[in-house]
Amino acid sequence: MRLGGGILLQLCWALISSLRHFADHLIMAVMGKRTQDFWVGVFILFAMGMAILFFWMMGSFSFGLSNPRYHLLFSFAGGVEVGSPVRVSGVKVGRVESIDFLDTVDGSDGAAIEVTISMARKAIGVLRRDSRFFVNIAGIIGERYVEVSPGSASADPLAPGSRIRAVDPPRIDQLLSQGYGVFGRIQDFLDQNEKTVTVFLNQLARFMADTSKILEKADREKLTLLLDNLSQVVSDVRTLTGQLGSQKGHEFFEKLDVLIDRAHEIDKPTLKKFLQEEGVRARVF
Amino acid sequence: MGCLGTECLQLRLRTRAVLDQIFSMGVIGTPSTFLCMAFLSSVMVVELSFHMRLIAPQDAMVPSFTTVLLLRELGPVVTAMLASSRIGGAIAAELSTLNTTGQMDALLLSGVDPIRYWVVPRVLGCLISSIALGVLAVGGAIVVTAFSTASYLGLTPPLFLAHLFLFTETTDFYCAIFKSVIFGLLIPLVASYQGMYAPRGSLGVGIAATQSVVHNSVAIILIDFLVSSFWYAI
Repeated sequence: MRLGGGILLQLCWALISSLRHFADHLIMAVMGKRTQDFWVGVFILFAMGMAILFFWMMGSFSFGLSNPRYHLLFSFAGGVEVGSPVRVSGVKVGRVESIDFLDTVDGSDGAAIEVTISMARKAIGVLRRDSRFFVNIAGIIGERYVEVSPGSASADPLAPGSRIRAVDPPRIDQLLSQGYGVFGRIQDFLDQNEKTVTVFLNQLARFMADTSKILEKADREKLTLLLDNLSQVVSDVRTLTGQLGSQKGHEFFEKLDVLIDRAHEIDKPTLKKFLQEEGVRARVF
Repeated sequence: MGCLGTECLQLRLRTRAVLDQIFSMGVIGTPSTFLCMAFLSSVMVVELSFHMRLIAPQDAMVPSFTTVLLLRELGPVVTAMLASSRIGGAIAAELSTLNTTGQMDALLLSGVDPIRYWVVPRVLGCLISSIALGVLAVGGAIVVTAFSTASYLGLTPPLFLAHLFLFTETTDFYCAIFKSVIFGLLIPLVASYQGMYAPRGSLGVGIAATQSVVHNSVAIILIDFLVSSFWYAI
């Protein structure tokens, strides 16, 4: 196996060497000095072209007019870096050109950072005064980019060079620290009331188990009927309470009030006298 | 280096010698450099894909990592290593032979500085060739990477191009150019020193060529480490 690999390696090397020597001899045999200079020129020009192509593809170089720029004001950049993509409606149309600190923090909205972005001219037509600029995250590696949502058609177009207050990305670190505080308090509570919480959970579990058993044993038809009746009762009560607020309800309550007042005046001798007068012989009380 | 500056300022360069050196190192060295970079980039695609799949099945990121590695390290370093073995050895052997045959003494007797006459055009030619060859080698390797990712990972050309420079910054390109400049100066200087100060005789020629290649290779690796450390530490 090792011998075979060695032979293969030697064969490859021999092939490469042969090709190289062949190319060397061919070039030297065919070319005179002038042709040699020509190829040197071609070589240098190709290298320069390749370098320009690299810069262009990396976005550091553009042919012709420079792309329009916008200045976004953030109080927190959220990990956006120079070269990060800019997308309008999810389509990549530009990049972050520079990130600078403002001279002073803007007192009105706390902006401290100016992010300058450049965008392709084809995309600026959809930008309006109410367009929203915010930092978003894409992909499994969490690449940060500036997302732009087009504004409404009725708003004025956003002119190149404008300074816009962008939407600050959520402070994950602050959320984590706040969450840490909340979880700490929950932990303290659980530590201090461990027995109570355990008893409560046991009772809850028992209650759930009992409820489950009852529901399993119960006749579903009867249960349905019971629920229907309950629903009817609730409906009747609702109707009744609704009528209590009407004119009839008020009259009923007034009469009931008068009746109760009169009932207060009735005592044992008065009731006896009334029954004797009416000719009723009865032993009361 | 001082002589190089003086020659450039006074425009007394032996243009023919410079062009010959560019042709020898750049034009003739291009096929072998392309061949090596092509296989290296293909191996990188396979290896990076394997390692990416250990973490997440995300082959679309392979071109991005390949480009970063090519620009930062493999492009300038492999080009320089190949040039040091080919051109460094040749320069050392040539100057050692000139020294052995007494041509250096003849030049000195004629009042011509051998460093200005032989070394400066070689240094300038190697410098230009190293930069150009480094850029072309990375470009060629990226083209081969496109084919490798298409055949091995099934990435379409638009997807490949979309992810090609995802993690690459302009500073990576400047770093590659800077390394090429350093190596372009280092290779001819070390080779010339080894050639001019080698023992006279046929044995000296062999020693000069061997020492040139060994010293250049070690120096390239060390300088690459130092440049990368300082460049990305700032």
